[in-house]
Amino acid sequence: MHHDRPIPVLALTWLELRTLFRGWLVRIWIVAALLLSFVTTLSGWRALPLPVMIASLAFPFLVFPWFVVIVTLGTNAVVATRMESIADGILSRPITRLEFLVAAWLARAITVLAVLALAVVPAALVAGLADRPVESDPVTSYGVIMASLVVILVVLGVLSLGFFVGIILRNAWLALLVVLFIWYPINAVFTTFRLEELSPISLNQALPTLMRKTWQTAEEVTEIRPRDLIVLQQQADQFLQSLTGRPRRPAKEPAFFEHDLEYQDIKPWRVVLSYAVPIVVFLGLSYVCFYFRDL
Amino acid sequence: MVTSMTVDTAAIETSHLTKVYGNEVIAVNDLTFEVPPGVIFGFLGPNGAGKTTTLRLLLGLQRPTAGQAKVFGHPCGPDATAVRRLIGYLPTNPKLPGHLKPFEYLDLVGQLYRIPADVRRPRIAALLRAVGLLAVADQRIATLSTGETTRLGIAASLVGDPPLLLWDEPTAGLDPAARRFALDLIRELGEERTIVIATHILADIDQVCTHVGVMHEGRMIFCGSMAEMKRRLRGDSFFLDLGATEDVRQRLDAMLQNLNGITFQWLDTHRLRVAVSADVSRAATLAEVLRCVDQAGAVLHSVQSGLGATEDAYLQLLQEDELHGFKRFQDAPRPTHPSSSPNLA
Repeated sequence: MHHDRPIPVLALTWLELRTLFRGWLVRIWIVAALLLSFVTTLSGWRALPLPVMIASLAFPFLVFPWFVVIVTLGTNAVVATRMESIADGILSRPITRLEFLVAAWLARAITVLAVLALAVVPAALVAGLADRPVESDPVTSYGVIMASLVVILVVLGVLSLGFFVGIILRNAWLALLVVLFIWYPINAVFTTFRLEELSPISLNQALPTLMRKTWQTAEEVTEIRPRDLIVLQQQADQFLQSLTGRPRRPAKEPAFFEHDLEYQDIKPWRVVLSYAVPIVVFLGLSYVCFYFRDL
Repeated sequence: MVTSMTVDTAAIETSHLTKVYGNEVIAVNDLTFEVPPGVIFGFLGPNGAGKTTTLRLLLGLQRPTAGQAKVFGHPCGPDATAVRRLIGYLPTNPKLPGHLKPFEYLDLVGQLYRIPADVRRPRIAALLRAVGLLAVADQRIATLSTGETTRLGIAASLVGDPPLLLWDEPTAGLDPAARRFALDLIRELGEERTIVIATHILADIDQVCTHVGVMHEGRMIFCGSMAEMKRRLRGDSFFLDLGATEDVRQRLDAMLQNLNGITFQWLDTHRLRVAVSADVSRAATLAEVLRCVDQAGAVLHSVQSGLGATEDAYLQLLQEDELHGFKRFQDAPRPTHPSSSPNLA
C-alpha cells in the first residue's frame, strides 16, 4: 500500500495560490502588467539599450504601480475579513500557525515572482534577441543573475513588509496606506544617509550598470564610476579614429543612472543584508504576532 | 482512531479554565469539568454563555487567560496539532472556501490531517455519499445551500476519523429534514466516538445527548447525565394548566398559601408551578392542591410532572444560578465526573 504522507504546507500553498489566481486582483494585475510591459518595450524599442530596457520593465515592480499591488497582496494575507474562514476551515485542523503563515507567504511570493517573470522575461528576451536599431550594449550572465536576485529580493522584501503590517493592523486597506505613507517618504531618508541599497528607486537606477558587469569586475573593481568608463570609451574611440581614419562617433549621452558622479556601485552582499535580513525579521515578527492572537 | 488512551482518559478535561477579553469581557469563568470518553455531551447555554469560546480554547484557536484544558490527556494550545488531530470540528454555519468543490475541500482537509492519498480519497468518496452530497459534488461550495454547507462541514469533521467531535450548533439554520439527518447522524456516530454538541436548542439535547453541561455567564452550572439533570431539578414540581379568571386565581392563591410543604408560582395567567418539599408526601400534596383548584372554581386542563422537562430544568438552573448571587463566587468549582457526581452550583 502506498503511504506517502501529504505535506500540509504544500496543500495550503496550493489552496492559497488557487484562491489568489481566482481573485480579481491578481487576474487584473497579470493583464495590466503584460500590457504595460508591451507598451514599455514598444516605446523603448528604438531608443533603450537592453540593460536600460530591462530596468524599465522592472521599474513598475520596484517603484510604481505594481509595488502597490505587491504590498496589497501582502497585507490581505491574514486580515480580519478572512480570519473566520481561516480559523474555522484551516487552523482548527492539525496544522500549526507557522505552517499556515509560511503557506500564505509562499503562495504570495510565488504569485509575485510569477507575474514579475511574465512581465519581464519575455519582453527582455525579445528585446535582447531582436535586431533593434540601438547601440549594442550587451549584458553579462553574472549581471543578469545578480540583477534578478536584487529585484527578487526587493519585491519579496516589500511583500514581507506588507504581510507583517497586515497582520499587525488586521485591515488590508489600512495596512496598505500605512506602508505607502512610510515607504515612499523613507526613500529620501535612504538617499540622504547613503543607504542606496535600501531604496528601490536607487536600485532600479543601478540595475543597468549591474547587468553590464562581469564576475571579475564585480569582485575586483567595485569602485568604478560611470564617468571613468565614459572617459575611457572616448579615449578608445579617439585612438581607433586615428588608426582607421573613420569619423568620430558623436558622444553618447549619459544614461539617467550615470548622472550621479558620486554614485557608489551597489554591492550584492549589502543588498542581501539590506533586504534578506528584513524579510526574515518581518516573517519572524509576523509569526510572533500571529501566534499570540486569539482567532 | 480509537486508541487505548482515548478509551481510558477523559475526552475533555478543563481545570479553572478562564478567558477574559481585554480585561473587560469574561467569556469563560473558572471552568472546571470533564467529559468522559464515549458519551454524547450536550453543551447547553444561552447565547453568550461561553460555549463557543470554550470549544475554541480546546482547539487552541484562543489562548486561555488562566487554567488549562486537555483533550485525551494532551494539553491544548495554538500549536497542539496532536490535539487537533483527535478532534473533528464543525463550526456554526461553517465558512468554507467557496471556489472549491466539495471533493477538493475534503481532499485539502485530508491532507491537513496528513492522510495518504490511497486512504484519503476512498474515505472522502464514502463521506460525500454518507452526507448526501454526491448530487452536488461537481458544484462550487459557494453555490451550496446552508444545509448542504453544514453537511459538508460535517463530512470535513469526519475526514480525519477523529475520536472526538466538537460540533458547534450543528442544526443551526437547517430545515426539518436536514435537522433530522444531523441528529440521526449524531446518534449513529455516538456509538463509537465522543461527541460534544454546543447548542441552545434544548430539543436537540433532549433527543440525542446522554450527558449535559449547562453553561451560564461563562461558568458550568451543571454537569451530569441527562437523567440526573431531569430527576434532581424537577422531581419535586408539578405544572398545572388551568382555566381561571383573576378572581379565581386570587381565591386559589389564598387557599394554596394555607397548605404546608409547598411553594407555588404562576408562570403565566394559566400555568401554575407547584414545588413540593421533600418531607411531605407528593401524592397527598398533589391531591390537596387539586382539591383547592376544584374549590376555587378553576378548570383543570392538565397536570404535568416536572420529570422529563428538559427545558424547565434548564431554565430553573439558570434562575437558580442568578439567585445564588455572591454564593457563586464562594462555591468554587471542583473537578467532577458527570456520571458519578453532578455538579450543581
